[in-house]
Amino acid sequence: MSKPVAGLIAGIVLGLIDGATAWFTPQVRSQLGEIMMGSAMKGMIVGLVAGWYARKVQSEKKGILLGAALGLFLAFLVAAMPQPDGTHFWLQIMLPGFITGGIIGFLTQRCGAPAQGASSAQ
Amino acid sequence: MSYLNDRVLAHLKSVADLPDLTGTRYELIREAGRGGMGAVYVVFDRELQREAALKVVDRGSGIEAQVTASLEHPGIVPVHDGGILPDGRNFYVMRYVDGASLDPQNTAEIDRLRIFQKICDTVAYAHNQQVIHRDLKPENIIIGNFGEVFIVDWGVALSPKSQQEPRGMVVGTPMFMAPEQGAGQQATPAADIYSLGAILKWMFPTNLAAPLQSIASKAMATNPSDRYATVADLNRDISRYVVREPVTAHRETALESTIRWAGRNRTLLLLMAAYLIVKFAVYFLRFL
Repeated sequence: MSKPVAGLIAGIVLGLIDGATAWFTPQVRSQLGEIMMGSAMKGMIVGLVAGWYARKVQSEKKGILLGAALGLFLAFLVAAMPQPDGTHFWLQIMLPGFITGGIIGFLTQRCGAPAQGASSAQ
Repeated sequence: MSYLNDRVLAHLKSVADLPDLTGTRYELIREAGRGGMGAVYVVFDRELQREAALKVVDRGSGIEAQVTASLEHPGIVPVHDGGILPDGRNFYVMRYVDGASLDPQNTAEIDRLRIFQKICDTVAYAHNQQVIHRDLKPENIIIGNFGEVFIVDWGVALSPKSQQEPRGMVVGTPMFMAPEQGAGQQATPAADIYSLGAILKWMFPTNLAAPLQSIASKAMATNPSDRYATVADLNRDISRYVVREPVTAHRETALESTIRWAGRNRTLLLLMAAYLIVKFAVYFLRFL
C-alpha cells in the first residue's frame, strides 16, 4: 500500500471519528451526517497531502507538523462558516482538527511503502 | 661464575623476540600486543612516512596474511604488505588503528548495540567468504577514533586456505568459546555465533533486557543446531529489538507486548491523549 493511500484511509477513518464526536454538542447534533462527511473530506485531503509528503520525506516530526498545519488550516475554513445563530465554533473545530491532522501526518510516516530514494530526515 | 637472574633472562628473551627489520622499510617503535599466534608491533613505514602495525607470525606460513588480506571489509584492518623477515619469521603489515578496546561501562545501550551489529556484519561477511574467526572476544574488537569497529587477530581463523590442525587441538578463548569448539571438534560458523552471543552478554553485564537475554541465549545454545542459522539472522533479531519489534528468540507476554507497542508508538499515544484532553476540555467549556 502506498503512503497516499494509507493517508487517504487514515484521513477518512479519523475524519469520521472526529466528526462523530459532534454528537456531544447538542446544538449541531441534527447536522451530524453532514459534519461527519465534511470531516471525512477534510481528513482525506490531509491524508493525501501528508501521504504524498511522506513518500518524499521520511521524518515523523515533519510529517506531524505538516499534517497538523494542514488540519488546522482546513479546520479554520470550516470554523469560519457561521452557525445559523451567527456564532462560530472556533476552538471546538480547530483544536481537534489540528491534532487529528497531526495524527494523520504521523500515520502516513509509519504506514505504507515510501518511494524509492526517499530522504530520511529524522 | 655468576648466573643471570630471572629479570635479565626475561629481558633477553623479549629482546630476542623483537623482529629483525634489517633491510625492510620499517622501523620498530614499540610492541602493541601479543596473541597466541604472534606479536603485533607498531612500526614506522619510512617510504610512506606513517605508522603501521606489523604482525610477526610465530607459527605457520604466510597463510594468515593471505586470509586476512582476502577479507576486504570496513570491519577488517586492511593488509598492505607481507613477507619473511631476515630472522626467517613471517610477517605482514596492516593499517595502524589508533583505537581503544570496547568498554561497555562507558557506552550507551544503543551505541553498544550499534557496535554489536557492526561486529555481526563483519563476521557475516567473513562467513560468506568461508572464513570462521574462531576467537571472537572483546579483546579482538577495536573501536577506531572515528567510531569504526574492527575485528582483529584472524590468526586462528579457519578458511579453505588454512591448514587443518590435528584433530582434538583446541583454539579459542574459554569464556567465549562454543562447547563443541572446546571439545576439539571442527569449528563451523555456529561456533562464531556462540561467541557473538557471549560477547553480547559481556556487553550488557547488568540489566540485560529480556529480548536481548533471549537472543544471547539462543546464540549460545549448547546444541549448534539450536542456534541462529546465520549471523545475519542474529543481526536481524537485534535490528528488530532496536526498532521495538518482536524478536524471534523471545516469546513475549501480553504485558511485554503492550509495553513494547506503547514504547514504539509513544508519539501516537501522546497525540491521542492530547486529542482526548482537547475534546474533554471543549465539552466542559460550554458549561462554564
